[in-house]
Amino acid sequence: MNSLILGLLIGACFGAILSLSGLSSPLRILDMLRLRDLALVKLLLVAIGTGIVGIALLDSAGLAHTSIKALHVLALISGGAIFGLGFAVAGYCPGTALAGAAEGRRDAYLVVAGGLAGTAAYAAAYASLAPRLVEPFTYGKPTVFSWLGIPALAVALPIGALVAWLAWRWRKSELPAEPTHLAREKPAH
Amino acid sequence: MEPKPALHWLTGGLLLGGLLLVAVHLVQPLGVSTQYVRAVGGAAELVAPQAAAENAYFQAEKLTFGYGEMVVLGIPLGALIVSMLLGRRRPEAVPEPWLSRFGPSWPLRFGAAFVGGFLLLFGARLAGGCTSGHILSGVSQLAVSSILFGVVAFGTAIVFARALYTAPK
Repeated sequence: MNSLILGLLIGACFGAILSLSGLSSPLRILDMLRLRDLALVKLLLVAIGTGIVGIALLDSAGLAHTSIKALHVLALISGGAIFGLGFAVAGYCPGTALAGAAEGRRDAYLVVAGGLAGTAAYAAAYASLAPRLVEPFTYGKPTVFSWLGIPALAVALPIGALVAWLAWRWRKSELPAEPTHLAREKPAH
Repeated sequence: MEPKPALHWLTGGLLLGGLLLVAVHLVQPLGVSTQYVRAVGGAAELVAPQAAAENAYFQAEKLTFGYGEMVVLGIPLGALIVSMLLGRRRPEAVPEPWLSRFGPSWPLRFGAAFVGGFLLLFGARLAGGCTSGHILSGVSQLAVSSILFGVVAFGTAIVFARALYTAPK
């Protein structure tokens, strides 16, 4: 299949899943981040658990196209903190803002616009930032199993079993609870 | 009030994980924030070709158009289709819990959304990935870098979300 058409199909499935599962909703995202509704935490745990086991199996059969990102410790910590602040303010992440915008959410358009501006600012700052924040304290592209010196499946299968057990225990929490509306705290009488 | 998501968390999680496996098997892991670079760089090439060609970041990231860009164009397409088919359009400017905490002013929400988006992508580009590339794809590959990013990003987001959206007593 033409790789451009394949990309559009995989992206459309990605966007549909984000929209259908509530990940494109800032209410759902912020209820997750405020630890009020853990349905999306469970969803991400199941997705990552499936990914960990599936990728380890595919890779052991030589059927995976993996791509490990470099361990730039300073850039990951500072970038992660800046990202986390933006995540809390926006209630979207770079992908879910695109899905939210397509659902008609007006504020998601501004998140995408701000994202393009933030990208431009990073590109402008890169030449001076990279030698200070990105290049120092870089340690190659390790994985948990390469650090431990054991096969990927030896790490992946126990994690998969744990996630499957948790999902089984949580299955009773059938549908996600009604989102908790932030009621303005009433002043004490 | 927003309706419940159409998919149960277990179904959504299995579908999202399954899609990641299809993508990793056929082409590469899922990622989104790199495509913001391609979009900005592509626009820069049109407006200021000299500056775009000289920019060290655009040189490092290689301004191409292909599979990965089509994935990111597909995201709004898929969300548009399912939200229309299921009648779940959300044409709102100020979502909860922002509305309850900061009121119905759309300029305030739009300003915050822009700043939030700016921080998201500045942070993601510094760290080399976002929720898709690091947290979904990277953690699924058990990458140490992605686990570190996930812990810092979620930890920071939880602290700020709890502080930001809780009305002072």
